[in-house]
Amino acid sequence: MRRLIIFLFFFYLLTDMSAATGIPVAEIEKRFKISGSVTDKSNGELLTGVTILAEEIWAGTTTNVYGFYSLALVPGDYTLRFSYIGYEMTEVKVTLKADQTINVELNPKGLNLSTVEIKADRASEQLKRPEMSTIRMDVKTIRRIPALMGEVDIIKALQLLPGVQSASEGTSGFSVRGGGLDQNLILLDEATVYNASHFMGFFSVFNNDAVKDVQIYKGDIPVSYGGRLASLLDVRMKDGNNKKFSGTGGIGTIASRLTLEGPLGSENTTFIVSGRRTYADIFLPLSSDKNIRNNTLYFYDLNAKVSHKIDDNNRIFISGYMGRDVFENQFAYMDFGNQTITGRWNHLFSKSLFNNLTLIYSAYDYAIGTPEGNANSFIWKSKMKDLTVKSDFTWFLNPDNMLRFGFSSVYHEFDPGRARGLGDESAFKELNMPPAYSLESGIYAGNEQKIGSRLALRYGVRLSAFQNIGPSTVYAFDAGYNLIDSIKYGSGDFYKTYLRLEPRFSATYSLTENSSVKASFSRTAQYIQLAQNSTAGTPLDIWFPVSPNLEPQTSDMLAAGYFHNWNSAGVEFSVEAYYKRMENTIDFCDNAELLFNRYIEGEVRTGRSRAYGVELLFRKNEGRLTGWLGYTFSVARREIETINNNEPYAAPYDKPHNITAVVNYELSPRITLSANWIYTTGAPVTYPTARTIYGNQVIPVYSGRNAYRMPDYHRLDLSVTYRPKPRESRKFNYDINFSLYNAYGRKNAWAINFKQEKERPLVTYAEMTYLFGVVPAVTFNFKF
Amino acid sequence: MKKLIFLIAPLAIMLFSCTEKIELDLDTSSVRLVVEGNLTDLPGPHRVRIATTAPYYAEGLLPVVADAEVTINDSDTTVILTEQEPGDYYTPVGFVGEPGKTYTLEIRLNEEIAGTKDYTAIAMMPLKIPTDSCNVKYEPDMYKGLWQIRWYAQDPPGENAYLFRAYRNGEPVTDSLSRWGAVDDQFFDGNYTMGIGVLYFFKNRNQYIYEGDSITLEVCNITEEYQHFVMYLKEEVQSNNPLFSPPAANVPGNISNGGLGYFAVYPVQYVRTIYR
Repeated sequence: MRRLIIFLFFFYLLTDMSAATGIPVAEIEKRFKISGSVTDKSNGELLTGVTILAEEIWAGTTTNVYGFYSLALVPGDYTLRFSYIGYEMTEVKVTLKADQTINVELNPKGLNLSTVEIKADRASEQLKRPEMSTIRMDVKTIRRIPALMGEVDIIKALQLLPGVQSASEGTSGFSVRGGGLDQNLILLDEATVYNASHFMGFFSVFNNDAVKDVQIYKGDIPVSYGGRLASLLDVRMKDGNNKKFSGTGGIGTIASRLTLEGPLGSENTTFIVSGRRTYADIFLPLSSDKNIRNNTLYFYDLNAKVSHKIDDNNRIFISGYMGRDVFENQFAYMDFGNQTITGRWNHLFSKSLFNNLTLIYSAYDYAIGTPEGNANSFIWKSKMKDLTVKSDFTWFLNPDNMLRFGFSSVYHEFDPGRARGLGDESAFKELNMPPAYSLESGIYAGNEQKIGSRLALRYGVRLSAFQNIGPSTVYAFDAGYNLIDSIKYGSGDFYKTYLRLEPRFSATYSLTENSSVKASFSRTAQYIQLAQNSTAGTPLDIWFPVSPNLEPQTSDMLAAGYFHNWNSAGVEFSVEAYYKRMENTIDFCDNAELLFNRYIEGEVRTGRSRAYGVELLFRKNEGRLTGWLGYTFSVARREIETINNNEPYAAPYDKPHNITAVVNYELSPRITLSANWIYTTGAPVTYPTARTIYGNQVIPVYSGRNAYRMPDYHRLDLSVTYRPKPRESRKFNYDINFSLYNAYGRKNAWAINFKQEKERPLVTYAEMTYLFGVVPAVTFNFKF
Repeated sequence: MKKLIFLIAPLAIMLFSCTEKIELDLDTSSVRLVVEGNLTDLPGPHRVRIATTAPYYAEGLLPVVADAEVTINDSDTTVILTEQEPGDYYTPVGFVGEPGKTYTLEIRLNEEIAGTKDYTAIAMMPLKIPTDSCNVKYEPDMYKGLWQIRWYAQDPPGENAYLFRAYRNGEPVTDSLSRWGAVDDQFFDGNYTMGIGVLYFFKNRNQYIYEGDSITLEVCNITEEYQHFVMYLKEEVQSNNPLFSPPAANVPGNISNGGLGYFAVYPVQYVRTIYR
């Protein structure tokens, strides 16, 4: 019944749109459309989120992720103002008598600091949009942030935003508003990246040279996306320079990068190829320690993309990513990596109906083993892959209504583990965990609507479905999680279907030209999850789907916020509060066996969890001094059957206080200084409250899970970037970046262990492990 | 298999990480009973040690529990254990466990601990699986040099689990739980073991084996429950880190009423080799 009401409400709004906007239906017929794409003048990159404003009527729109916009206006003379952060504003005069295509190229702002810009439109447009809990970051901003070993990292930069926490020191795993690491949908050109980490998490898989822009949704996730509870991280690769062949690269302390891009034949076809590889292993042979000398240890990333503009109505993109970590020494071997391929076709059915059809292949796999020739020799592999088809429509109905609808369908294949002995000497047999197959689908529709000059709404609903497909054996467990039965399903048998309705709603009311209040409600559902019970996770963690035993997780989030801009100073302020309630939250029983366990569902415990918090952010985007200051207060609690004696406990990423300061100062056109400082409450941890002795060993006895906290975490990073004085004529530009990670050498506890003294084994003590002292790094970046 | 992950956790951690002793205040939880009891197919006497938990930083052995009535029975007979040292209860000499039989340990305390005087544990003695032999191999490149004790036996089909301990020239060298080996046959079920490594002696921890040393490998056929118990305890006392370690948790044994520890019942055999 409730679902029906939501549907009726929704369709009522759709059909009644013209009435709501106050425009007589007859007049809609007379509207003409201005549409086109907005690109960067220097390299032809499509720009996302450019504000287009018809000054005369103060109505406008923004470009979508493919740089496309469309405005339906009544005939007349208009001045269209195109503005975008970091670009010079452009005005185009139009006399509208028929549908028109206007493609605009925006000029990136030079380094001329004295230019005073008009920022009012862009800033106030953002204030008015019915969209909250989201932050877009351009790669330029990310590059300025001091990074671990100088390796600029998108995810590490995001971890400096309010509401986004690092899972543990130095790791690219992150938690959004108290959610788990597997509750973030990480997309690279629409393809899911299942493990965004290199090198046990110390680096992320995104090579910033290949990335155009990054947007994170900490809530209020658009209806066009689903499948994860907490957040959406949308990373878009560059399309490639269509003006000239050019290159970007860098030589860093641990890795080097090279990106080449340019037109292919004409400016309608472009390519970009980008690679990155670490070379720590090149220095390993220099080590005096023979054990280190014989190691292999590296990772690489390869991004490639070709885009072709067929005509104003059709554009295709084919992009791919491949990355791998390899570790090998004389007695162990491990490698892991992601592969994605995305094919997209942008098609305009009319000047106001935009469609994007996407086909995606995404895979993640790992292998671990020992060399041949031993009784212990074995290899163990695991793989998961997705095939996705997705179609998304944007209908620019009129300046007050922008509709989105579409569908997506993902075929998942999980191969959780295959192990076998290697060579004749091996004692190990072949052992395969049964694969799992499933189909995850969604249909959605939504509208972004302006009502009058002050109120804007975004509302929509996503209907998601998840189907388990045979062949499969489903195990049944009793109340004590003991295996009692099994049921076999045949090949192609859709043996379980879950449906979830995910309504999402947000509203913005402009109080003044410079301030607004926003509120949102969103429901999300998640059908696949990581079998992971360590804090930061490893590449060996496997994903597993819901099943007849395990219901999908859902989350309901309410958020409200106040937004204020001081346009003259270029400062934005926001405060957001949220409350999240999650059902069927999963955790794992004590001493859970998550690898090579066909009865893994017997290790899962479910319950509910909740999270709430307040996030404050001051952000200054323009001028010589840029950066932000954020503070987050947050709480995340879980209540899961059998865990912690059924009592609520702190979720692993519950760190109540978090302060981040990111500052960037252009001292002169040649020298930029950057600093960031972070403080968080220590992560929850379980400590012993008693001891026993068994087998001549002191064994800790614990009371409540996560009842204690690690010491508080804080760290300062500094960097200085030097570049030669810019000149128009210079073909080859470079800069040199010196950075200090953990500049004041804070010993942040990474792990706490309880140990027995060597000489007096019955005497125990606590010991902390910290990872980094002061880590200096130099990176040389170039561009031609 | 899990062990291997720890071996691989590369470099990254080893290269950068440092440790430092810290002061941490810990609460004290209520006292619980701790039992460490073993029964094998050897003549014995077999010991059941009864104690209570102590504050974590307590230096010294656990407070013993004296004056308890302790019995072990199979379906036919009951033996009474006698307290020879406070808290240490022994079976009569000549009482041997038989593979395939189920034994019940019953403890009646003089005074209540954690609200009860009665604790029991039930354990089945698995069948004996013959071990052929063992040998020692030195691996100079692994972890700056280690000696691997390799084990040869035919694993029968079905779930089996093994516990390993070693003696050098008759002296126990795997004298604490963290050095025991405990494996199940998940990855070699029904196969000949071909000399898989079951115990390791690390040069950099001064665990030398010299040429001419006599090495005795003790092989116990244990239940899968006991193998899990030992393996999880080993994990609890190993160094943890955010990458691999699950949340710290107590490891349940087979003692009733919330008692800690284990009453383990298993057949034992020994194979000997001289390291050359």
